[in-house]
Amino acid sequence: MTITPEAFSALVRPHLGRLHRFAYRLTGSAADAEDLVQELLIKVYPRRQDLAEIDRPLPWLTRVMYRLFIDQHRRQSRSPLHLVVDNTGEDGVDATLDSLPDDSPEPDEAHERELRQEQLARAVERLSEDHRTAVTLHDVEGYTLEEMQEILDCPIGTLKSRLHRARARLRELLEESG
Amino acid sequence: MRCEEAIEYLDEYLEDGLKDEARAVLDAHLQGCPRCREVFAAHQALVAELRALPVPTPAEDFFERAITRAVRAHEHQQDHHRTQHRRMAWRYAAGGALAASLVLGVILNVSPPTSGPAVAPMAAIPGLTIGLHEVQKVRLSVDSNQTLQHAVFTVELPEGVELAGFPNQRTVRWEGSLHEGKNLLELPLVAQDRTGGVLVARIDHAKKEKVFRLQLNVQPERGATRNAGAGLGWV
Repeated sequence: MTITPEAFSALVRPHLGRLHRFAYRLTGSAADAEDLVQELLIKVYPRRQDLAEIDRPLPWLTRVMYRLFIDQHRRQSRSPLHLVVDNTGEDGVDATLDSLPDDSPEPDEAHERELRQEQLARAVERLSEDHRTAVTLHDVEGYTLEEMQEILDCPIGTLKSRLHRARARLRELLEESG
Repeated sequence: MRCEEAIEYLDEYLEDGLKDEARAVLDAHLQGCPRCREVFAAHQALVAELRALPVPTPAEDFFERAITRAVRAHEHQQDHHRTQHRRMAWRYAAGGALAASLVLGVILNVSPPTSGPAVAPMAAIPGLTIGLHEVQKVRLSVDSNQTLQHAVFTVELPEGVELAGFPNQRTVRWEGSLHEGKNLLELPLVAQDRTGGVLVARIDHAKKEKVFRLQLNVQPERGATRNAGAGLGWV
């Protein structure tokens, strides 16, 4: 029995939001994230029969997408993971400029939050690739250790110690940048 | 339970992955150990901040359209035995810049070589002037005396020029095929600065390569000068 397009859609649609988020973490750009999700769908549609037989499609799909990214994009020697805070509005203008600074001496709360996010994003970027991947998958995107094992094809013990060291390093970097 | 052990189980604890017994032991340790409580709390706070790092949401029906495109790409491939649509083909279809049926090709609607020091005809390459920050569609067409599957097309851009839709990429590469006869390729170029330079288009098939060069010169935008303040929302 072949899987119809509608059935395929029902299989993948619930996961596309999370896949898109991770695609954005990987590529750092909205357009590239959409491209990566599109490439994933083009790649897995012919394999929808396999997909239908998998208990938990999300780690499988994430793994395929991650490998697609590594194969296609690393060749272009870009930094593999980006946690850039994209502040641009639709017309490409930095949206934070729209809010004029007010006169009060207390810093704008939203502005503070943005600064903190940028600081965090930069710290994560400075981690080694293995550390960055671990932190991004687990802490940023909320994948479990079991799921990560499937996505990265790496034993849980290794992932745990990687995460542990990654977080310690992240804290160091955050302290450095004040 | 020692602190080192407790931290070992940090993730499972927070993910609710611990069995009741183990959880109880860890809880007991935390109650009596301020240092570990602090580590757990700090970790949770950090994770919460990381989770909150923003991700742009795609257009409302992007996912539906992406699924449809994947289905179509597959059916198309099955029907016509063509190599699958790569980023370029469907992205252009979305922007309307390139009809999906156009495959690859190279040749020129370009002006004769621009003025400059006299150069021997063999060394001169065709030149084209494009406007700053404007999308200029450059058509390249190539005649092929036979059908070639699995050709690799590479476009190497000079500094300051991009292919619309491929920001920050000096090299764009994809696979496609050439039919027998005339093949057409449309490259939407955007100059980001006045540098200009030579665009190189390569077509590789089997072990052979064909290279085309095009001199790109950039001139200021033809439109009215943009008011720098206008885009910032200030009156």
